[in-house]
This record gives sequence, C-alpha cells and structure tokens, in this order.
Amino acid sequence: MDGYAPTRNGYQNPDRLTSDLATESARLSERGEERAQPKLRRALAAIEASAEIGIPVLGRPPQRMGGDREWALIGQLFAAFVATSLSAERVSAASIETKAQLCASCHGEHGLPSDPTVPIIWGQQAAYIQNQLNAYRNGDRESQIMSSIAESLSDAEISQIAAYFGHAEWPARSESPPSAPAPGAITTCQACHNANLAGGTGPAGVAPRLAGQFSPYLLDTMNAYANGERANSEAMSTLMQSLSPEDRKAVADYLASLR
Amino acid sequence: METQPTTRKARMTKYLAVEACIALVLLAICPRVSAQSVRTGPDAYGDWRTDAPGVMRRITPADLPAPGATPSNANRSKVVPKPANATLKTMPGFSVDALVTGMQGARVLRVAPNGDIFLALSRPEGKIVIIRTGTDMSNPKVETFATGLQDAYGIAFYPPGLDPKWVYVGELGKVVRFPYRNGDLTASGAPETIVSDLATGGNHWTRDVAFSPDGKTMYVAVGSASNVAEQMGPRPAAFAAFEKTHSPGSAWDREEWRANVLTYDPDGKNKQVFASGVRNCSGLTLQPGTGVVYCATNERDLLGDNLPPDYVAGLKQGAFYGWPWYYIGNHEDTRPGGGRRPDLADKVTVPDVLIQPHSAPLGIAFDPGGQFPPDWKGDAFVALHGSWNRALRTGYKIIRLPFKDGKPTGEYQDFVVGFVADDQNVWGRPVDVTFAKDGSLLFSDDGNDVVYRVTYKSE
Repeated sequence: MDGYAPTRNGYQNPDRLTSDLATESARLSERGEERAQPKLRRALAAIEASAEIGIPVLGRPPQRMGGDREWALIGQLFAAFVATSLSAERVSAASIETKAQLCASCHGEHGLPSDPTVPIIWGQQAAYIQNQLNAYRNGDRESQIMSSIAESLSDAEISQIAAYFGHAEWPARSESPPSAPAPGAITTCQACHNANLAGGTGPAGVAPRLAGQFSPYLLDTMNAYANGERANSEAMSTLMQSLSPEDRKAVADYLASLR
Repeated sequence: METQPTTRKARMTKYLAVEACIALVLLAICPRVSAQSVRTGPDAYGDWRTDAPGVMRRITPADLPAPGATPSNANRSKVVPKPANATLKTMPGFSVDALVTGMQGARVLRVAPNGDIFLALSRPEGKIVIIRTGTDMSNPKVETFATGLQDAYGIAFYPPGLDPKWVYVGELGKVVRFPYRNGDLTASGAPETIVSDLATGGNHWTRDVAFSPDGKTMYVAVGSASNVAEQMGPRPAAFAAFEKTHSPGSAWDREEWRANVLTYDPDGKNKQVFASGVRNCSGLTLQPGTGVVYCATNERDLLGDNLPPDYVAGLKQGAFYGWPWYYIGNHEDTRPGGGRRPDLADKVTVPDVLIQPHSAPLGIAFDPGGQFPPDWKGDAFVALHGSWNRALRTGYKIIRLPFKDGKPTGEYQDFVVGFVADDQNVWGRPVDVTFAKDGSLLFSDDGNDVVYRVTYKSE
C-alpha cells in the first residue's frame, strides 16, 4: 500500500489506487476483517487528501472523522469494493499469482522478458494493462497468444492482474542503451505520455509508460499503429502515420535509453 | 531328417533358430524395410528434441490426458536467422533445398495447371506472387500476380482441370477472383468480389479456398474468433431455427458463421455450412480421386501441454467436430459461454489423424506421385507451424500421413525436421505444402520467408 503521493492537487494515480484497494480488500477479506483497520486507515488518509477520487460511496470526504463514523466508512468502503470490484466472485490473491505465472513465461520471471519484442509489463500503468487485456478479450487487438489468455479472464481477474503488475517495480536494465539527445518528435509523445514519459491519465485516456521500454517492442508497436495492424487507439494511428520510419526509430531508441 | 527334439529346451532352441533364419531372409529381400516401430500412448507426444526423420507416431482418443494435467505454458518461439551450422534433416534418399528466399510472410502455395507456383504473401504484403522456374526447377523467377489483398490466403483455380479461367483468392472478409489463363504472370483484370461477408476479427484470419472436382462447389474454411468462446452470451432466442440455418453445433455472437467449413456456388450464392465445430481449419484440400475434403485443423489452447491434439480430418458433410463444447469426440470443455451442450455429447465426430497437441497444422497436400516413392502416392503431407502453448516446443516440421486404400491409417511420420535451434529459438516455421509438377514437394516458411523444395532420388 505504499507509493501513493497525495498532492495538493489530488492523488497521483487514481486508477491505480482504485485497483490496488480492490486487491487489498480481497486479500484482507481472506484473512479476516480484524486486520483491515491499519491498512484501510492509510488508504482513507490518502483518499482524504484528494478531491479527485470518484469512489461512489464517499462523495465528498469529510474533514475530520471520529470513531463510529470511521468504522461505518470502512464498512461501506469494504462493501463497495467487494461489490463493485469483485462482482459475484471472490478472487483470492493466491489464484491471481497462479494466473500471473502464465504471464511470466513471456514477460519474464522477474519482469524482464528475454525477448525484446515482448513488452515489459512490471510497473506499467495498471489501467493501461487493464485496457489492453480487455482489447485482447473483445477482439479490438489481435494476438494469438494474448487473445487466448485474455479470453480466459473474468472482469475481476483482469482488474486484479492489472493491479498486480502495475504494483510491481519496473525492472532495472543491466545494459540500458547509452543515453542519446531527445529527438524533436519526443514532445508529441510527452503530450499524452507525460514529461517524464512514465505515462498516466492524459488527453487520450491512460497512456502507458514508455521510459525504459524495449526499443524493438516500441518500434514494432509504432509500426503496427502506422500500418493498421494495431488499431485500438485512433490518436496513436494518426500520430504514427505522421512520423517517418527514421523518426520512429530515433524515438524508440531514445525511450529505451531512459530510466 | 533329424528326429523331433524331445526336451523343451531343445524345442525352444530349434524354434528360435528357425525364427532367426526367417528374419535374415526377410532382411535380405527387403533392404529398405526396417522394423518400423510406431510410438504410441504417452511416447507419441514427445517434443522437438525427440523428433527425427522417419519416426512414426499414432495418437488415439484413448491417449488424451486430463485437462490441466500440466499447467499451461506460454512459450513463444523467437525466429532467428538460420544458424551457421544448422541443416534441415529428412529421410534417406530425400534432400531439402531453398527454392526462393526473401518471400516475406510466405504462406499458401498452389501450383497452376501449367506448373507455375502461386504463393500468397499474406502479412504484411497482402499479395500473390508467381514463382516460375526453368527445366528441372532451376532458375526461379518471381513475378507479382496481384497486390492490395489484405491477409491474402487461399488460392484456387476455377474451373478445376487443365484450363482455368479464374483464380480465386480468400482474403480479409471476402473471396475474390481474378481472370486467369494458363501462362499469365500478372492479373489481367481487377478482382471481382464473389463472397463479401466472410467473418473477420479475432484470432484466426486464414481463409482457405478449394473447389470440388466437378467445379460445382466452392469450399471456404473460416476459423473461430476466439480460443473457446468463453465470452459468448446466451444462445439465440429462436434456437431451433438457428440450428437449422447454421447447422447443429454452430456457435453464435462473435462466432456466428465461424469455426466451420462453408460451401458456396462458384458465383458466391447458396451459402451453407458443410461441417461445423471445426475450430480452425487452416489448410483445406480435396483428396484426388475421392473428392473428400480434408482439413488441417488447430485445436484449442490453455488445457495443458498435451491436450488436445490438433488433427487432420476427412470431413463428412453435416458433421460436427465439437468446437467449442467438445473436442476429439465426447471430451467436454466447460469453459465456453452460453451454456453447456449435453445434447451434442454423442454427436461429435472424431477426426481421422490426431497430431501432437499445439503443433499448429496449417497446410495439407496429397502426393500425386511422379517422384516420391511409389507407395507414397496418395499419402498426405502436412506443415506444422509450431507451438507456443507448450513448455517444450513441438511442431516446426513437415509430416507424412500414410494412406491405405484411400483412408488415413491414423499414423504420421516425421519427414522434415530441424527448424528448432534450441528451447527459445527457431529458424523457420512451416506453413503450407504443395507438390510441384515434377512431383517434388514444396513448403513455405513464414519465419525466415523461404520456399523450400524436397526432392527424392531412389538409389
């Protein structure tokens, strides 16, 4: 439950918090409610600091809570998350770890794929992972392997897997390519993928982290958007078509060199 | 004559001596026939390390393990350039050579009546090229026949026989045809759309096309959108009517008109389901002589390393092959959405030849004779693209399916192997097979974009 930075303007990663809390409440409900209190207090503190969270049960967070109201709120939060995030299923943390093992075969036992045309997903934006799994499941994206896997996941499992990997740490790359000066085209990317290219919510939805991603994977992806092979983001299709192959390569190499 | 031995030991010794003599005589008169052992049961499964030219296998429905007997593995292969010391291995008397290289996305191979080799470059090119060779298939030259065909795949000449007037192509969402006469190297006219509503999207995009020998029926193979229709909704309201128009066992929602082989008239009218429940018939061909439609079929994922087998089936009209609710006869898969189907349990046709699970058979062709050993005439050859859903890789080879009296024996033999360099890396992925006019076998590889040729010289 670490890594939330309540800021003056709101919480940093509202989507991530929502899915992490869903995961957390599932885990806690497995172990019994008496241990819920400290963790949920911290979560509530984070929520209190933000006006941006759209969690239905809370509306406007109160300034100061006391005793019974706190317990009532915790109870409501529990119920809301169990009801909305998990639907009718109890998905245990243990089963998500089992499901995630299948992912490890291609995406790396420790988060670093051995094949650089396979993307790093550890530490990726959870909402982006969720969107892509949904896209594979409903046919908006085509991949023999990913489609079969995504098809077998329920809504709850997709949300939990997204949180699971979103929460993990982006792997250190033992041999990062040498840093290069930022190509001019990079400002286009930063508009949605943020100044530090770590992704997040932006003008075109949730943009993925690009910084430190594999260059071959990034280039394949840009090309796929440009030639129509991948078509689940209109913005990306348009932008990639306007980038020359040389520019795409320069951008991919630069992004791969970032930490 | 010696008297009969009276002791048991003496009788046994004499018996063994006679057996030994018979064995030696047989070996003397049949030098090329070695004792062909067939791997059966659990031994039939194996992996790339136990493949070898000549190995014969038979997998039967009784050999299926339970679902989840092994955890599911995603073991995506990486295509690498051909390693310096790598060679393809084949059976004695045969050799394999590259015919043409640089054929990006090389997939379907079909030979025109005049011997020209048509090749679909499906992705990303979307075109049909012609390989024309000189005498003894020397000096191949590649010409572009047609472009602008997204996911160009199946190729079929019409009318069947020596003097076609069109070549039909299965592509994204449609079947089109080009005017064609023997000798054309480029399409003489624009494509005419014959079928405009082939299902699109999802996993399986290959659309193979073939004609019945009498030219009256066009077969089109359409694979499923998904693995096992887990997200499929409840069954359609007027279900009996649905089953009548779509054929019993057909699925719905995104899977409507998919996971089957369809028939049409050559002008695209009169769509019917020929056989349903065929998850992904990637390669379609008609057996010479009988006209039976054979499918090289890809079964489902995520049930474990050794389940279920892929298969080759000689399709029976109106038959149901199980997808998504069953596989290999009455083996239920409980993952599909839309409710279980106990009504279909006893109606699932078992395919003829079961192949190592997750091998990915993509193409099939019958040996017309003329070059390969005479007793191989009428056998089928299948290209296995190779596995992703298995801890230890399998596939990535060409196999031979012996036929006897026009029927598959149920066995198959490793014919060309060697594309797997190690546990991660492969240097080729076979897609389609066909026979050239001189009787040599051609196969395509969309990993390193090569068309290979296998020739035979009897000693």
